[in-house]
Amino acid sequence: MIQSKCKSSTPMKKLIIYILLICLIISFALLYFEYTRYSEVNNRYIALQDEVNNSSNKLRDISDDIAKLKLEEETISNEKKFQIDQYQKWQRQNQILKDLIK
Amino acid sequence: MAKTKSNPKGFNKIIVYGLSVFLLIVLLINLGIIVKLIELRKQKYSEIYSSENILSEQQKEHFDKLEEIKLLSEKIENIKNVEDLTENIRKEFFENAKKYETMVSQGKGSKKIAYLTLDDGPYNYTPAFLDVLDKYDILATFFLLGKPSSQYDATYKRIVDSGHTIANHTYSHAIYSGLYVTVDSFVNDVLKQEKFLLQKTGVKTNILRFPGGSSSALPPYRHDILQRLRKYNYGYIDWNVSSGDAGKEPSKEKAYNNIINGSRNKNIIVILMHDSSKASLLALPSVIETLKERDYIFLPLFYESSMIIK
Repeated sequence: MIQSKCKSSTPMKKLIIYILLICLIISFALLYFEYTRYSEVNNRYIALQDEVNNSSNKLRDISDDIAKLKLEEETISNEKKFQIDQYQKWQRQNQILKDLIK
Repeated sequence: MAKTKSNPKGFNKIIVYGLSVFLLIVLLINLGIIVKLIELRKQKYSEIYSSENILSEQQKEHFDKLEEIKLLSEKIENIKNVEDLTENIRKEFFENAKKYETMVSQGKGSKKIAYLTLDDGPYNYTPAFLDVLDKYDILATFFLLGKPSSQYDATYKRIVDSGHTIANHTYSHAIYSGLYVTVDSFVNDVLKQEKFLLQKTGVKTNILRFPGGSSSALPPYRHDILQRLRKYNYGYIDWNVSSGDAGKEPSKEKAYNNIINGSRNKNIIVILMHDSSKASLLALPSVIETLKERDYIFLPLFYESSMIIK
């Protein structure tokens, strides 16, 4: 009776070990698959971060350019204030006539 | 014998259990790592999403800033070329003035035209006249005399810089002391003033007003004078409305009434005032306001105007 019990439990144990082994193999496969996906996403994220940083740097450069241009505009506007006023005066006067001719 | 057999069986059992437990632990660790990786991946996706949003905002900002740079560069370029742009718009203004004057002559314009002209300047009141014109944003025409004193240099310059038309009223204005004695005496005086104005203002004018009006250039010289003036490409103009300030100084009210009454039923008026008249100066704001209310627009004279006789 004891012998038959021992005999029937051995294949059961083997079966459990096989099942565990198969599960382990499947889990490794899943791990590999998941890791690959994660790596792809992470690489994409890193590339995007680089892009964001580059874009930030470009924006900073552009902002510097704008600041320089604004300064230039302010300087030149002060230098030519009188001529600008004259231009605006003619523009106003001309607009009156254009509206009347329409 | 039975004892020795039971030992390997127990040993096998331990190995089997040990192996099972080991496999189970490794399996659980794997599953734990997988779950963690899934969590990390989700987290990365959300970071990617926010990075993409940041990038998209940055690209939009980038585009806006490039547009701003473009506009600023254009503005700077325009400011650098403001003199040329002013000259172009000035030309366009006079072309439009000509078109509109033609419309008004044909009774088509919605507003009438007033050419405000000031004679005999520069004078001490001229800057005050200019202040009034600036206040109402109006352009007028100054028929200037030759006043070499440096005290008037700034006034000559201000008239031109403000955009008003300057015109020739002869150098001497000597109506009663030789101006109209001969054709040469008159024409030479006109040419002297043309040269003087060019030197003082940098502007060459070919619009003339006879001192005392064109009727002062009486025959027998009138025909010859006009012929000579045509040779120099001159056109002249009188007036059809006056403040009456040429002789005895009127009151402010009288100057005002003279102009307002004189403008009735006229589509195009040429108003005569003198820079030397305080009454005209004081009446000018009310004159401008009333004429504006009565649908007049103020224009500076230009050579192509039909009011200039060539």
